[in-house]
Amino acid sequence: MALFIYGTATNYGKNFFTHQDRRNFFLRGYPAEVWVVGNNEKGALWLAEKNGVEKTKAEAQALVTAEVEAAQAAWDAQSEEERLGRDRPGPITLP
Amino acid sequence: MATYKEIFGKKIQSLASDIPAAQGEGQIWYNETSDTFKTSVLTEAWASGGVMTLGRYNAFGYGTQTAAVTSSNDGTYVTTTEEYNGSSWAGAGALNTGRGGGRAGGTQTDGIVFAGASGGPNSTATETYDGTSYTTSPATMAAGRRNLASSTNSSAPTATAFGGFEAAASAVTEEFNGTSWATSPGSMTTARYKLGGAGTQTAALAFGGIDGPGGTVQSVTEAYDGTSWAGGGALPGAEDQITGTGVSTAALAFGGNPGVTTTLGYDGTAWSSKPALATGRGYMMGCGTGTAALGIGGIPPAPGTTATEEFTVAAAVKTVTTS
Repeated sequence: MALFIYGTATNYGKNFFTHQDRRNFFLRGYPAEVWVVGNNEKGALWLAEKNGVEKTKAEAQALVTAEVEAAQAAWDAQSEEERLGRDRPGPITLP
Repeated sequence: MATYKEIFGKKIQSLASDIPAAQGEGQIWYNETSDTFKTSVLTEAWASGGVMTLGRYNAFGYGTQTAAVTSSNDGTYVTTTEEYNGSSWAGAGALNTGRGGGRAGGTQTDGIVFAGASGGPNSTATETYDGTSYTTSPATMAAGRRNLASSTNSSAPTATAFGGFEAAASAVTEEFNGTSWATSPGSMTTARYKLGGAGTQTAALAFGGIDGPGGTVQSVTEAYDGTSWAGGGALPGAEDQITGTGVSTAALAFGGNPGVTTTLGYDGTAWSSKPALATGRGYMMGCGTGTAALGIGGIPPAPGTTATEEFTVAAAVKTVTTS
């Protein structure tokens, strides 16, 4: 069985994920509202309750990569002065 | 073998239902309904907080978990401010000068923001917040710098600022007494920027950071006593863009570069592992205490996320098992 469920869901703020949720299942958020959720009953229920859209790992990775590449392009378009003290966004690989 | 009564002086209670978690900490009881022994233990975790209207990172953040303020944003240098009530964010008085890489302290009704930069020279400016509007203070720092760190839990409106980037990594410490800044005779042993800070004006912590462009990321912790810096317990790994809050004997460090979820607690001597953030981020703004903290914004994604997370300690009823 796969370790994780991949999906997108909009973080609406308070109680989007709770203290109890964090105890019940693995949860990691990424750019493009991508969430990596522990593959157990409570994790799957959480994603469904948040009106999440389940994705394959490849689909989720593509969403994250697209957002990172957009941020890299924005950084590349900046002048040296504007970049001062800020690093170019790096790639993100989903677990 | 000693019995429970011999150790604690009384028998285990037999109850039809569980004791409320908050009242049952440290107790053990027998639940007649489930035919199990129960106890209540404290657990720590990050949960989602209110979403800001604007994505922000490496900006100003101060206050408490239920009464926080954040202003500006690195890169865009907006002047907008939002206030948090423990549930949601609302617009508040604008900064006079938007800056990134500055630091802040104090409370939602008595705050202070200082240093940073807005695409030009590093700022020495200080602004104070009264809960409604910002006022530029006549007090200026001796050294303009960005990506510094500061005490996070000083009695408002005082602060200690340390490290940062001037023309190079800085080790300089300055203290604000509510009226003016003064350079401390004590400088950090390791000059660095993009470091984390916590503590109070006279008991501050500096940890992590990087010692120069393309330089070495640090794991060093130093503790300030109001006069001088001394070595503390090192971070378990080198980290920059790390965020801190709490006091020097109960501090919290979280996040880092790139997109780190790690959370650590400091007891005045050593760092220990805590439950991770849900979303890994660097350059977050942090406020609150070591047991009730708020992590605000951060990157990725650029130019800053709107998300916040709340670190809390809560009691939970657990079934006692033999495993």
